Amino acid sequence: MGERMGLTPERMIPDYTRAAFLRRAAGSAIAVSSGGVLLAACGSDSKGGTGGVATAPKGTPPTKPTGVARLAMLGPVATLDPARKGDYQSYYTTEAAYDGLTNWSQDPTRLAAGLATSWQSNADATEWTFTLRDGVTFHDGEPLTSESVKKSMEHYLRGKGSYMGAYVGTFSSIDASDPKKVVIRYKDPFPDLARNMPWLGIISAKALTGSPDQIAKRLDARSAGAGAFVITRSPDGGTVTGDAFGAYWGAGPYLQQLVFRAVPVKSAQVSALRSNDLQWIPQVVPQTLSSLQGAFNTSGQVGWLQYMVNFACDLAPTDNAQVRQAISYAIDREAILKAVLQGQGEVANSFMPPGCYGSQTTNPRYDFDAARAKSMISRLGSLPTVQISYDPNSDLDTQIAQVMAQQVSEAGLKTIAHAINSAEAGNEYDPSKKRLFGMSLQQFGWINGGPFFFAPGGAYNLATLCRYRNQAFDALMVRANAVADSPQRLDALHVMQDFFAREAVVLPLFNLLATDVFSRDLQGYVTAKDGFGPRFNGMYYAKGA
Amino acid sequence: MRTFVTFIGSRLLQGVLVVLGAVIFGYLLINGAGDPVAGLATRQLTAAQRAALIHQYGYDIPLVPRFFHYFGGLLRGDFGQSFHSEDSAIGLVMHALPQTGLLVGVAIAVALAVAVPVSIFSVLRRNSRWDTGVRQTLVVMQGIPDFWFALLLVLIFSVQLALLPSIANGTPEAIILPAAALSLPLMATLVRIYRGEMLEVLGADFVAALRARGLGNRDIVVRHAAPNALPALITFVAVQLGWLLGGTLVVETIFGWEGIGSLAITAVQNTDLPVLEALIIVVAIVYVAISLLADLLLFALDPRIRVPSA
Repeated sequence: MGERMGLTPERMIPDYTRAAFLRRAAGSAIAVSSGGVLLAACGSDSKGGTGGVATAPKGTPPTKPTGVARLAMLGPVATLDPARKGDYQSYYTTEAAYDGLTNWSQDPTRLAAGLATSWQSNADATEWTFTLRDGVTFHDGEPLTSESVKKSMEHYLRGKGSYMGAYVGTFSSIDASDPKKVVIRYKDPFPDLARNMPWLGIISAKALTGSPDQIAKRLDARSAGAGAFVITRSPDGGTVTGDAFGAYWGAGPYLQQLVFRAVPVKSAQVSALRSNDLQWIPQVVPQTLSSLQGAFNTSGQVGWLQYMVNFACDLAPTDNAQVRQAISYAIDREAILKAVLQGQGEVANSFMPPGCYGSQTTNPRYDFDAARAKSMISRLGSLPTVQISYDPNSDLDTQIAQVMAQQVSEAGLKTIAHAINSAEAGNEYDPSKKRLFGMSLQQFGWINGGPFFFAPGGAYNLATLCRYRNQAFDALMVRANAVADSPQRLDALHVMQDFFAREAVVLPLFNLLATDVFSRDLQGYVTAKDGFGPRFNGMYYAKGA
Repeated sequence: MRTFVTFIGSRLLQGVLVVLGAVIFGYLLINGAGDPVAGLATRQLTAAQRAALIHQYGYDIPLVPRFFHYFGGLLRGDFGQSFHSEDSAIGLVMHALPQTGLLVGVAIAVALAVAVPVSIFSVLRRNSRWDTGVRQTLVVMQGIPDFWFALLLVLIFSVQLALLPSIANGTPEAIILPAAALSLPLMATLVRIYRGEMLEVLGADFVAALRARGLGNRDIVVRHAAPNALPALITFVAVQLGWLLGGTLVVETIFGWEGIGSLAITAVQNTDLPVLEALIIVVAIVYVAISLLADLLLFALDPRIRVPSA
């Protein structure tokens, strides 16, 4: 899901000095393809370049929404329908317009109230009850009722082209008889519903009437949520405009308008930020970040985006747990973090990033130990070559995979990096087919702050992805997902992860730092803890800006 | 005598054949290889769901029958739906086309507005230091790609001087930098061609006769050489216009200009086959139309075209 959301880190921009630029500009007709570097190195932000966060003018939010902020999108937005948000820009534009029953707080271990003021489940998480907030109005003027929630959940599960069915789960019934209370029932336990809710923005019941095509067309063009901004989309999706919603139930918004512009090229985003044509750009790569920190505000979080290596447990030699362990010892994650990611993140010492429900750091770990790796590999005798697959569209993935291949080869096990194509990727995700590559480098987002990738039967279940078949582990996984949040559930999750770690089925690599950069005049913005969804409700222009 | 009807008829027939070729080869190239579902499906789909999607979009039909089905749709005006957004593919292209048309139109107008007087002046001042300087500058300008110009213009006028926007922001001045980036290299080529053509005309017998009658150099160049060199310039501009329509990819991407170049890049990234197919067809049609217009203009301007060859 993380990759589908377009969360692949952007292209690196190499260094380029002012002197080299002047020499070239003086007379040569040699093409320069690193113009973005030019802008990064020679921009107007030399003042105050201490490398720290810029000191922006302080202020308090205005009493009424004021000002327009122009924000970069990585590409055009396909749809404003929150059920079909299949890329990163669709996600964060719809986030501006749709609020869920629950929300993320900056304390990642706790959910915050959203359109529901309270929620609870029964002991085995087969029944969930949400109490709705009073006084909430949708963008079309309709009030929030249990019927809106019911229709929204049905839209997410069965709506035309919906991607979000897995987050709602296959409920057996929804009781909306009380307009202020919703009861959702499942045949099988569904303990993560509340933490999936931030992804499931509630839609006005009126907007969900009609045929699926009519609903899709309606939601494509204009939002029908209860969020802080009413969003509309240009015909080709290259511009999305959000106007402040006067009847918003929560704090803010403090900006009168958001204008999202599709600027796919990172160097163009940076130059637009410098020329003040944009006031916010997302997910800036480390190499560019250092040149921007002096003159712009930055906000970063080590969130829930994680790089990991998935081993193939049905393919020699990685079907052998000792081989997997040896490879894990051979990989120097600190060195890769420093050299490739420029320190923008931290080494992952748990399967689930810190703050996720069930995360623990006391699993067996495979800290870099080249000597141990060599010794283990030499004892295993002659082994076939291992291939590590990676996404060639990402420069960072390419570099990380190549470095890891080199490190493992140096430990005595020949390993080569392989750029995966879409057909091969389809094979790797098809549990009925044998894996093609012994190792797979991937970036996963633990999107609901819980054991998303340990949900039995899920499309991205890690054990299934690795073709890891172990009855004891499967039983643990079922147990960990058969009860509501509780000490019992936590215990089951921890035991399950210990098991997984001992078997070295997956090697967590890094938890990534997601850094957004924005104008010094803007205040009140904080990168979301999950690392995915920027929220602009609290953003405002400092007085005097 | 070659009649107007015969002339137009032959050009139209050629145009139809060109567009037909674009439809066929475009479809075969795009659909003949690779995973057709790559743009439709995410990895979340199971094998069964993937198969259902392939069936829904007709990719389980062999290529040739599938093409005829697609061609039938084209004749009814149905270019299919974008895989990415489910908008009509032709709708997306027709929304983007005027944006590119505006950008290219402005770029060519600016290029011509500068190139024509510079060429005339260069011919009038032939072999002077000014003329030498112009020609040397042209060599440099021709070698610099438009995307490099684009980034340089952004650096100077947006970042350093804060005079002009660096991306398309809906204001009229947003067109200045991308149009300049496109027109600067083009300007150099136009000057070279027009200047060369005028010099060739100046070597013709009738020019000698004009000089013999006492006509001054300025009159000869402006009133005789320049108009006689126009057909070559028009032909070249028509070719460039068509090339630019398809060649604005990089400039549009740098400036966030929502034209067919940006649309093409997005379609490639999303493996949005219907949009790619629609783009190829529309660009082919526009190119043929522009060529036909240029031919008409030449027919009107150059009487030699109307006279049958011996």
